Amino acid sequence: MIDERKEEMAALYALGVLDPHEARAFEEELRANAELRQFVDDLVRHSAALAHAVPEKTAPEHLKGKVLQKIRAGNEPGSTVVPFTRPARPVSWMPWAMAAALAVFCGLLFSDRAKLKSEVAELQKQTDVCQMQVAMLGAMDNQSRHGVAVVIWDPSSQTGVLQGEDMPRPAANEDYQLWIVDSKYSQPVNAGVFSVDGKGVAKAVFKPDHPISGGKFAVSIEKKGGVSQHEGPIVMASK
Amino acid sequence: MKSADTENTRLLSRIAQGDEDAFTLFYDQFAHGLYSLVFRILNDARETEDVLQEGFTQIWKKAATYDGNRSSAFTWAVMIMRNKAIDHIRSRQRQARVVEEAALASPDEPDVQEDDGVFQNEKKVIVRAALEKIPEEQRQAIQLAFFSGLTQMQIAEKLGEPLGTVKARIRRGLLKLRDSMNGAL
Repeated sequence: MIDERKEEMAALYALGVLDPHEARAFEEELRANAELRQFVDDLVRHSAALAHAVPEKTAPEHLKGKVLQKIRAGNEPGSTVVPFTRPARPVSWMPWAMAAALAVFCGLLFSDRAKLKSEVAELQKQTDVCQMQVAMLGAMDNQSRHGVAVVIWDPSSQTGVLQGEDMPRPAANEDYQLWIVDSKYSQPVNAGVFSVDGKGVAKAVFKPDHPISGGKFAVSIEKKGGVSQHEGPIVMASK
Repeated sequence: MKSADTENTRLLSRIAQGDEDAFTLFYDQFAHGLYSLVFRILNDARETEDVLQEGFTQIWKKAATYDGNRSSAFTWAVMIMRNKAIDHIRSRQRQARVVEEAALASPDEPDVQEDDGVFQNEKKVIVRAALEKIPEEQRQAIQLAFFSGLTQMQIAEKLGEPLGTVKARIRRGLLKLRDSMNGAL
């Protein structure tokens, strides 16, 4: 049942006019309420339809060339997440082999998190020989509602793999975003956004915006498409 | 899912795999409509081009994150561009001037140059008709919210109304808009 207050919050949220703290509080409600999420998605869809009502303009012809040039250059700062099956650039076989092994671990063990933790620790020992890091990300509030995720990070290629399970989908106008907290930077470094499928599974290959010498991993919920600097709530982090 | 949505979802799936031809098709289909939207928000051709470049680059890079079960490709692209345009306003401290212009601009002022297939005339008619069914004060509140980048408090100040009144207008107006368009999008 969506009462009038929730309808009001949903409308304000869909139009992006809530203050940041109100938006974060409402996002907490959204994560726990599938009916409300669906309602918000519906309002976002109808808000977006306002684009049909604007006076028509023709995009300049030269713009297409500029856009294509930009995507070919591929050096735009910001998002670097690419589909799990397509790394941004060739990387050594080892991270992918480890990722595959991890996927198996995750598939088998997400129902037993204590065991997963010990297996991750063991995997970390094994990966020491190839200088890779394995980190388990848990919910910030020790509750399971944000699921669990594991990151494998290869410092030599500056590339990582994330796999998450049991993760609730964010609202339609939000994305999960991965960050790396490296002490040499004053702000967490963006490692891109990632999606969660209908089964709560997230898979992503990432390459952070800046060179990373080591640190912790964290996941926040940000507005659609991600942000250059962390704004939203951190929902998962590595120890 | 409608056939156009299905086709656009396929396009985004191909874009996620790095298919530039798919990206070009996506651009051709949405560019004019998205340009119109961003121009409506920024009212500046040069800045609109900047935002379009940023937005389409984001679409290229983030296509893998698109979730067809949550929204149409149209909604996804519109919200990316709209958020970028609003960020642009805020970052350049242009808000006051743009708000004035937004308040003065009429959403249905004619400036039709061409139809690009997705932003179809039929949909324009539906959305504009739906907007006309909404009381003026509700329509004004919704338009300020969507196009100006103001917070609810700033909208209340702008309209000289209590915050609670503005919230109620936005809620009622958006629900009416949804009900009027229901099934037509």
